[in-house]
Amino acid sequence: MRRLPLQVWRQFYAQNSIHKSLLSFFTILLLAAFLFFVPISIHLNNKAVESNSTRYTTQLIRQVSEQLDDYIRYTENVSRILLYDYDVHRFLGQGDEDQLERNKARRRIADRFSLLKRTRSDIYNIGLFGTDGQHILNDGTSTLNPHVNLKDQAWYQSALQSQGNIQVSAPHVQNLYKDHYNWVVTLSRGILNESASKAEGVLAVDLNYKVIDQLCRQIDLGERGYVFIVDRKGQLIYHPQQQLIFSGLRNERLDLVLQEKNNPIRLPENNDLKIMSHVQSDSTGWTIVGVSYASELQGDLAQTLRLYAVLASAFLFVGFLASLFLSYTFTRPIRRLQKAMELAQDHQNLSGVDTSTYPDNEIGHLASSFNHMTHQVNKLMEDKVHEQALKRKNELIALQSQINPHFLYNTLDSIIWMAEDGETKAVVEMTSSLASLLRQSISNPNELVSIRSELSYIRSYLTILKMRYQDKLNYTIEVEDSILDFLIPKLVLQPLVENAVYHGIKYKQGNGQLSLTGGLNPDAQSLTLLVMDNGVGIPAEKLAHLFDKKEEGTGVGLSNVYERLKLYFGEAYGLSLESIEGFGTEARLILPLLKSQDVSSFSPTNAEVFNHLPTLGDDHV
Amino acid sequence: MSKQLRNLLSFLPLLIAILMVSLAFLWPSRQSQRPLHFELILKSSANDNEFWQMVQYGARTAARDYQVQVQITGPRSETDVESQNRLVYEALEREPSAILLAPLDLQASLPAAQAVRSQGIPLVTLDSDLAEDLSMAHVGTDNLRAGQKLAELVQVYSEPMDKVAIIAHVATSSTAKERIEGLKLGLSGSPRELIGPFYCNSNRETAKELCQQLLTVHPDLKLIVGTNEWSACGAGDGVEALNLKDQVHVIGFDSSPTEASFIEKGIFKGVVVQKAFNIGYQSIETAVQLMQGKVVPKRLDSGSEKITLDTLHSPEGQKSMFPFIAQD
Repeated sequence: MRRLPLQVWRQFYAQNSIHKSLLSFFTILLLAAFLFFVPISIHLNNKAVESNSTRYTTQLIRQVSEQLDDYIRYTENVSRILLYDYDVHRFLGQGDEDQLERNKARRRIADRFSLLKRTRSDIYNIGLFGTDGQHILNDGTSTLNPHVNLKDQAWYQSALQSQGNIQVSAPHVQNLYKDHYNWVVTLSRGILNESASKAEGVLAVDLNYKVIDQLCRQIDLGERGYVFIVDRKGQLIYHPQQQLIFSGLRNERLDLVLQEKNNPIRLPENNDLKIMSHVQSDSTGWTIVGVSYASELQGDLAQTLRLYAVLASAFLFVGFLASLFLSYTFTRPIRRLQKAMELAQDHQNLSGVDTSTYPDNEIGHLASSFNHMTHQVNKLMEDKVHEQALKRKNELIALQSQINPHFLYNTLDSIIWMAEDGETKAVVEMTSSLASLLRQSISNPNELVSIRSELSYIRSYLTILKMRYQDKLNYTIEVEDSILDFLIPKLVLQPLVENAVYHGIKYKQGNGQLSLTGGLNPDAQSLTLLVMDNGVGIPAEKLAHLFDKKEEGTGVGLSNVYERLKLYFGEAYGLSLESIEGFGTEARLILPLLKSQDVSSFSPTNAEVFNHLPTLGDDHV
Repeated sequence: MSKQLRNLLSFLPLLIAILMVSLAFLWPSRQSQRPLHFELILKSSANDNEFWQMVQYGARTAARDYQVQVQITGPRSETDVESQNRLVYEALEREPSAILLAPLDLQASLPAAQAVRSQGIPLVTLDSDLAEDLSMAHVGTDNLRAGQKLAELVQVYSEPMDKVAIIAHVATSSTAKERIEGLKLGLSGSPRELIGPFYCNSNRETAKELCQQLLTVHPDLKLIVGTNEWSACGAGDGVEALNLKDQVHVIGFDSSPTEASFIEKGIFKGVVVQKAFNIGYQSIETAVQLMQGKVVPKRLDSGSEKITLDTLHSPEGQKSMFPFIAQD
């Protein structure tokens, strides 16, 4: 299945961190840019270098061409001086001169030839040939090759026919001079008679390649570049590897040079491009061709590639750092925000983040949104806690004010029986105790009450129970006077007494004894209230779970008392139970010494107290 | 993707960067190789031997073109096999990349060639052959073909059953044998009365004497064939000395100004020209290609051409006959 690059990228982005995505993005971008631009840049660079260098090469070979023209012209001038010389005509003059004069002229010309040959090492031969067969060769000592006919020589013919204009031959082996066979270029010129009507002789200068070679080699066209010369007819005049071409080991496309008049010729050759720039000289008709190779102009490709690779690597490195930096600046605040959110999620910290440490961008806005959200959550939670606390208080009040209906029925039943039996005194006592109990339960709205008033409540309660259980229940209350004015949470003692009676003494065979004692602890920092009975006791396994909130069948109050005390006073205080099965139970309350002026700090509306008691209301039956 | 792989991904740009730089610096640079060094042992190092001078010129030109070092040596005389073999041993001591040898003798040059091979140095032969196939490549004239070209010239300048003498250079050289064989082969359809071959040991004077003796013994001789420059020039000298250029003519071999002059004089009717420059140039070229591991032809024919008076000074004839030596 084919996937679009965008999809691939999206998937990659979805699976990887921002840091990695950025890195990959930079890498791909840079590499693609380089892969795209390097070939283009190399190509353009090569093109520019090539056009510059062909222009430069053309300039160079134009110089060569001019120098060659100068060379030919100079040689022509030299020959012109000779040609207008009186001696030449005297020597060539037909018949009318006497032999002596002619010989003198011959000697003078030969001297001059000799001088010229000595001063010009580029001249192989200089010869003056009369149409009548007379000739002067070099310094006069050279002899004509007897087997060669002068009239067959192309340069001789063309000179005779060209009305005194200089003729430049193609390279050939000059075999006119006895025992010499040298490759030369012959400059020949007809010598017109005094009336300029007819050529009476030919002056021929054989040039070796010394100067031409020098002129062509002096310019630098790179290690493999060179200059060669072609004449109008497409004959090779000069080539640095002339012998190779003559041997057929090398081939030069002379035809192309003749065809193309202006533009440089571009010729593919062995994985390279051969560029032939050419200039034609008007005076000689020679085309000077400068050959250069593109690979040399363009320099070392490896060098260029190396440069680009280093550059690309440098950019990649910078890109790497940049992506590191960018992703760091982006992802660090995001990570911090993420951490803060995780804390908030675990209810550990809902205080939000310090937005001043976040950049003022999308992330900053995210942070302030988060703050706004945590603020809202905090507010909601506070409202909720407050609500819960209020609810708890109301529930407690309801609980406090509630006398167990069964207790009430039983008591009322007892009163009815006693009334039926006519025990008026007992009825009065019980009724008044019940009234006192009810009054006390409704009358005091405070959560904390003095031990004294709590004891009074207990007494009323025990009076009623005593009248119902008669001798089965005996009780003693011995509380030190010194603690009577300390405050304790309301209704913490009554459930203990109730528990002792209903779950201990009630099931006991025979008489039960309940004792409530109280006093300051030896450290004088706390007090102890003790409810002991000699009832059936509580089985150990039941005792262990007695304060568990959900435990069925326990007294309404015990877990309630336990939780409330823990909440009010912490772990150092509270309720503990000890029981031995068959022997009785001892409930011990250890409480701080609270005076009425301390009460405000123990208001049940205090959020801290109720924060962690969300299920308190579910406990009571 | 495993986690490690992903972590590696973070450093991908750095890895690519390092890879690119190292690749770029491993890119082969131009001209990093050591220049090749060849030893070229010719048949003759004599300055007046046009043929071997041109072989040298060709070899030096190739050496410059291919940027290799070439050390050129050769014995004074073309019969001195011993000194040539000694030169081979000396060349071996210089530990060349390859040895190029123009063996003087089919048999007697073998030990030197074997020494080269036993040292594991590539051997290229030029001009002449060995009795055993010891060289990796051979560059030279196809002498059988050249001999046949001699026969063609003989046929033009003589009538069937005319007396034709052969003055050859060295009896034990493969070139002489093959040229004579080619000559005989070429004449098999239209036989001449062949006299010889007589061997001048590649000495012009000896050839001249042989020629003069032959002409006294066989006054009706029509043609003398010389199988190399000295054999032919000596024969020309003999004819010229006896002033018999209207009766007997020479068919020569190789090119030199002397031979050109003999053609112009009419003493030589024609020559078969080898391409000495090409032999020198192409033998170096072949050795270079061998060192580069390229496939080279086992035998490379450098070619030969017939030149007569008519073609001597034609543009093509001049190119074959006269070397173009650049001015230095």
